Amino acid sequence: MLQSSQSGVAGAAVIGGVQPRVILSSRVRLARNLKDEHFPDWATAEERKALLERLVPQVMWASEDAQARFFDMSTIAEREREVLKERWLVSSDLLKRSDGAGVVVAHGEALAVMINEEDHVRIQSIHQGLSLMQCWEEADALDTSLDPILPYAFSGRLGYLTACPSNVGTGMRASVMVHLPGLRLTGDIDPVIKALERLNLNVRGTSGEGSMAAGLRFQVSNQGTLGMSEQAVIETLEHVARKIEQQEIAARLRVLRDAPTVFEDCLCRSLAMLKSARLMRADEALDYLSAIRMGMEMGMVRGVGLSRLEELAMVVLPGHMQNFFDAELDPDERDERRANLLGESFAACEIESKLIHESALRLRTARRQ
Amino acid sequence: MLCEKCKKNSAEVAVHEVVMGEERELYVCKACAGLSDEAKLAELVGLLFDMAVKAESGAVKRLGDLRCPACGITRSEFRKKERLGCWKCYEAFGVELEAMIRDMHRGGEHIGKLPQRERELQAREKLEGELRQAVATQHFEEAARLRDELNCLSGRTLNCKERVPNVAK
Repeated sequence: MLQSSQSGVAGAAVIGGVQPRVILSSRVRLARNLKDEHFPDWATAEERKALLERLVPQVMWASEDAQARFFDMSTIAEREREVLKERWLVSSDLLKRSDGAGVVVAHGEALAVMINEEDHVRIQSIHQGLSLMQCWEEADALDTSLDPILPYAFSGRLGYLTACPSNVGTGMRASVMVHLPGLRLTGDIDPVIKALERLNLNVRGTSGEGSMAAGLRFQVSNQGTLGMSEQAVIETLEHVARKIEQQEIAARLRVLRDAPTVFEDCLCRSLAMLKSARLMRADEALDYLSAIRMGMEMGMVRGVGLSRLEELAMVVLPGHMQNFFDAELDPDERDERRANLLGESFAACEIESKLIHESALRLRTARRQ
Repeated sequence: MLCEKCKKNSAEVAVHEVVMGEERELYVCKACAGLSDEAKLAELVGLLFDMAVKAESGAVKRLGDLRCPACGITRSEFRKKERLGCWKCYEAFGVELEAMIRDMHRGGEHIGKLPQRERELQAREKLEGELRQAVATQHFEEAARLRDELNCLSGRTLNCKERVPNVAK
């Protein structure tokens, strides 16, 4: 389907050896429940509240972080809820629950423990890049601290028992977030997704429309949780993530080499929108930022840095937008302010068109030799 | 106009959807307007359930009124919400769950981390088995050592070195 990774590496050397970051972040989540308590969906509001009160200090203690913070879903402001979700600290499911649901956030934002989401306890550890083992070790450590003080629901045969049978066993969901603009340009997203699904992995877009992900960010995670140890699942996923990274880099270089004008068009079109649009939706903005990021990682964008780009990819989200302007903004107002902010931010940004075509030529020459 | 979701078929209906936390009106084709992911999942769980019940043909009537004795939810309530009521539901709805779990996962038995209590229990059972074997084969020195280890596990002996084999690994 795609060329080998070797030509990808060689190609990278030809255009200056820029190392793109395809794997944006890694995450491990553990689902745990208590014996003799109704699972949250069947518990009464009083039961949930009582459990929350009991669990919060225990989780705070186990987090071993004096700065750990607790957010109660029944009292938190609407804007704050959005921000927590946009920072991947809570799920949409938790936001739908109010009485007796909350989250403890610790160690910066590396650790988040949702209480009374679908399961009683959901421990999440998240880190940048490919760092699944670190995520597992941190989530595991917190779980081990909670273990002696919480009577976990467990069966020797089925493992940790969860509210939905799809999570029994380890209760672990490990995932990586990958950025795949190159595979989209080569039209290989769907075959890659199908191949991953055949490997028993789950792929979904991150809050995008339909199958295409907003900002071309996809989350790849393990599907089954029973019959395979945590370490084995993580090793498989890490291996697959590296393969995806190779394929993505190869795809970017292939487009640059074989269709430099398509590559250039993608960057120029996106930049034009970022510079000139008067109204811009969040998902739209993420798509354009994704293209610019790809160009930037290949050294074809001038005038804006990667850290500014990453910051903007967060600021354009609805909750963050309102925090940034410190105002309650309705969607239309947000679209306008978002477009203005992006227009200002990218005013001095330019695409290195000449460099794109020169690099394409060099890649073609290198291939012939 | 093309469907805003699949960008292949022509758009026929308008649907409201929350995208990136904002409600939007999207013009989509009939196929894309059909089912949300959540509805699809609900349909799948229902389907698996039906299959499980059918597989146990003859048992349909008996399963019909099944209720978890611990939390009181019925199997139809579980089907509706797709969430179990408590950990005892795994015993109460064992037959259906067995089939669902087989379809959802690769393996049938847990491999991986164990809670501390479970680890100790498994370690104890292992030692007890070995002790019975040692006594039966008249390896009394070995038996004495195993007995001491067991006492250690129960905390009956003071100042013994902690030695809890990690069965998980």
